[in-house]
This record gives sequence, structure tokens and C-alpha cells, in this order.
Amino acid sequence: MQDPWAIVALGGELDAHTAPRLREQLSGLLDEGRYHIIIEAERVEFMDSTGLGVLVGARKRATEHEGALAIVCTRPNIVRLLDITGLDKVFPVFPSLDQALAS
Amino acid sequence: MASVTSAIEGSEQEAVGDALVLEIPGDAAHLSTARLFAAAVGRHFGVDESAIDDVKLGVSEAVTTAVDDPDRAGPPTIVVRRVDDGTLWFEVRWRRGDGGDLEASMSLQVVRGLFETATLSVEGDGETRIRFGLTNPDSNVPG
Repeated sequence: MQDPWAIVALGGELDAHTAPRLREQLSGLLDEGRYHIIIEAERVEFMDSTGLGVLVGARKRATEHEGALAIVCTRPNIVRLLDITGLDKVFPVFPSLDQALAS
Repeated sequence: MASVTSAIEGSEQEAVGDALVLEIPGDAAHLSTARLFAAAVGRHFGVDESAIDDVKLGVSEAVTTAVDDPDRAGPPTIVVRRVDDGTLWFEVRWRRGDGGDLEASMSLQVVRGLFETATLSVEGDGETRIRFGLTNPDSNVPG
């Protein structure tokens, strides 16, 4: 049986240059019917609103199919971006993968 | 190829010393260069390490606004200078033709969320600027 959660581990910098690759990857998962996705972002050194926009788009598609998209991250710069954009109230954010999986 | 110059920039406020200027191609591939420049210049001017991430994000989002501008008519330029009241100003400039409103840009909203001093101005000749200042660059409170 397939694991209900697809875990996507990200690293490096997520901006307008790199976000299209993530969009493609997430679209591939969603096209396969994987509507429960965890983004493991603990190794993401930088993320901007374009990167966040990709996650918003994926979350929209997932929730249309009664799925969910959660983020695992404690990095202050990313937590701050989520706070500034108000998306901390949209995405479930967990400090560890274990806690995300247990939710 | 990005080019770095040092120049004294005119302003309503008196610049203290030279401004640091980076012109980059209008391509998202150079966003990381813009962030490296912002962080290095911020440290050069004594910005507290805890505020460097905000400076990087602010400059990156401002450059993204320029790169994504469908009416952009020139490459983005980053200008950083300290003025006589101690404020450190970061500015991203580009030229644009007549076109749509930039206010809906999510990147611009993030800059405004980060810095209360953030402004967008579009002059009659198309010179467009997003700027923000750190009033206490050596403290950890963004301006």
C-alpha cells in the first residue's frame, strides 16, 4: 500500500529562478494522485514569495481533492516569510517530520 | 554579466560617502547575485547579522518585482547608500514603459511587510524605484 504522505525534501534557495522546477515536481505528484504532501524545508537556505506561491498553488490543487500540504521547517527566515504573508495561518507548519506525520 | 560600480548618487538627503551600485541582467538567474550583494553591502555598512536575512529577502523581492515587470525596459540596478541621518537605503531601480500597475505584486507586498519605510515610485520618464531604509542599521530592528 502506498504511503499516504508524499515527502518532498527541499534544499538550497527557492526563488523565481528555481521555483519552476519545484512546481514541475509537485505537479507531477499531484498528477499521480498524491494529494497529501509534506514539504521538508529545513535545509532551504532562502525562500521568497515566488517559492511560496508554488506551495500555495500545490496546496490549492491538493485541497480540491481533500488532500493537504504541510511544511516542516524551523528556519527563522522562512517562518518569518510565512508570518509576513499571513500564510502561517494557511499552511500547517511543524517543527519536525515526525510531528507532521503524526498530525 | 553583473557590473559593480561605486558612485555618489544625488538625493534629497545628503549621501555619506559613495553609494554602492550593482547592475544585473533582468533575469531571475541573477537573483542569488543580488542577494549576495545585498548581504555583503549590508555587512559592510554594519547591519546587524539578525537583520541581514530581511535585507536579502527585501532586495530579492524588489529585484523579482523588476524582473517580472512585463513593461520593464531596462536592467535592474541595486543602489545602497547611507545618508546623513544614519539611515541605510537600499533601492532597486529600473526603467519601464507605460504599463500596468505594480501594486498587485506579491513581491512588493513582502517588501512592505518587512520594512515600514518601503516605497514604490514611478516617475514620468519611467524610472521606477522600490526603496527601503534601515534607520538603525546596527540594531536588529529593521526600519
